[in-house]
Amino acid sequence: MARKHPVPPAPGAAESRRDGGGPEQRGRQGETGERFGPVAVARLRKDDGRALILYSHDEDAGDATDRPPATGGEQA
Amino acid sequence: MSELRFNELRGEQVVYAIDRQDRTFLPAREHCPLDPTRLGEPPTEIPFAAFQIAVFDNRFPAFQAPGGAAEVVVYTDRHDGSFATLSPQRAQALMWVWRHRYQELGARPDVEYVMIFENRGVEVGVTLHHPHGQIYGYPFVPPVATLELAADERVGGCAPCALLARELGDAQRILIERDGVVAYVPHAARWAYEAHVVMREHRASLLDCEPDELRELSQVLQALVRGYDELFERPFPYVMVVHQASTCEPADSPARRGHVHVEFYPPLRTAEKLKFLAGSEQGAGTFISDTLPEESAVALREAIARAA
Repeated sequence: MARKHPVPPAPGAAESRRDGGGPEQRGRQGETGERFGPVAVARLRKDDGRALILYSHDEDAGDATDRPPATGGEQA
Repeated sequence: MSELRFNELRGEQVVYAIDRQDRTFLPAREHCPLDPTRLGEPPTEIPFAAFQIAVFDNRFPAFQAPGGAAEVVVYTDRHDGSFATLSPQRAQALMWVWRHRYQELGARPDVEYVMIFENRGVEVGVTLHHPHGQIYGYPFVPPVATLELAADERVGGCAPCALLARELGDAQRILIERDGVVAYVPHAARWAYEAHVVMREHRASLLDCEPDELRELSQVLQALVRGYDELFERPFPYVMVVHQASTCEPADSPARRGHVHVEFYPPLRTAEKLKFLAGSEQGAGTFISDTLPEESAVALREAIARAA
């Protein structure tokens, strides 16, 4: 596991660019705003120390445009 | 912390993650840990009243630093629904989340292979109904990825590229064909309704895909899952796994091999009957199927058309 690489640059997107964007929700600890392609990235830390990342994107009218679930009971 | 033991007879690692025995198991809907946090109630895994896509370290990890990673990817703050019922924009954003996690986890020195997957349905062991997937960062290259590299050696090049060309030439088992993405039931499917969704161009990982290809990938995946749900007019259980290059080689190394494709392993062989991995599958490693892939492809094509 000693070998490690810089991952290849992604085509067509300026990634991990800090531009102050982020989801509407604001975190408790350590939040940063950055973008990865079309998604905004907000990094937080849960009370027990685990990482939590919230991703948000534009053109989202909420899940109002979602289709209804398949019939036959809850199962996801 | 998990313990790895090498099983000599199988030539594979076995992971002992004994804390997972206590993980949350099919909680009542009002106690779903993947729901947003409701005002005045204890926080769930996501301590906000609303969110779009959330990723967090698994509370009951099979792998954790410095021996890998285990993350949960919550697709939506709505408890009901599935990957298929996400808005197209949300599904497309999810592709970018997958790509982001592949990049970040793959850059870690303790992660050699990033596997993005979703288990759907109690039939495949789901313990939480809220729409979500998972990501494991393995501290080694697991056997299936190694077998795919061996397939490259056998065919003398990229096996998924060669298999896609064969499927397109045959055409019997093609389910969906777009400019950048093709879905088909493979010639030698192990599961009755197994399907593979393959990038048409050779792309080693999601990081190598163009934005338009990611959009098409999300569209084809959603169309396929909607077809699955339509097939037997019920939520269709499956295991969905994103296959791509390991992350243990330098990005510009000719040794970095892989071809992005998503494999679905659905356990249903009829509307009510499950395929079990029994004597031949477990003891001999040989799948015995009751269904011809060509017949499954016809049924799935019709279901996808009905669901569109």
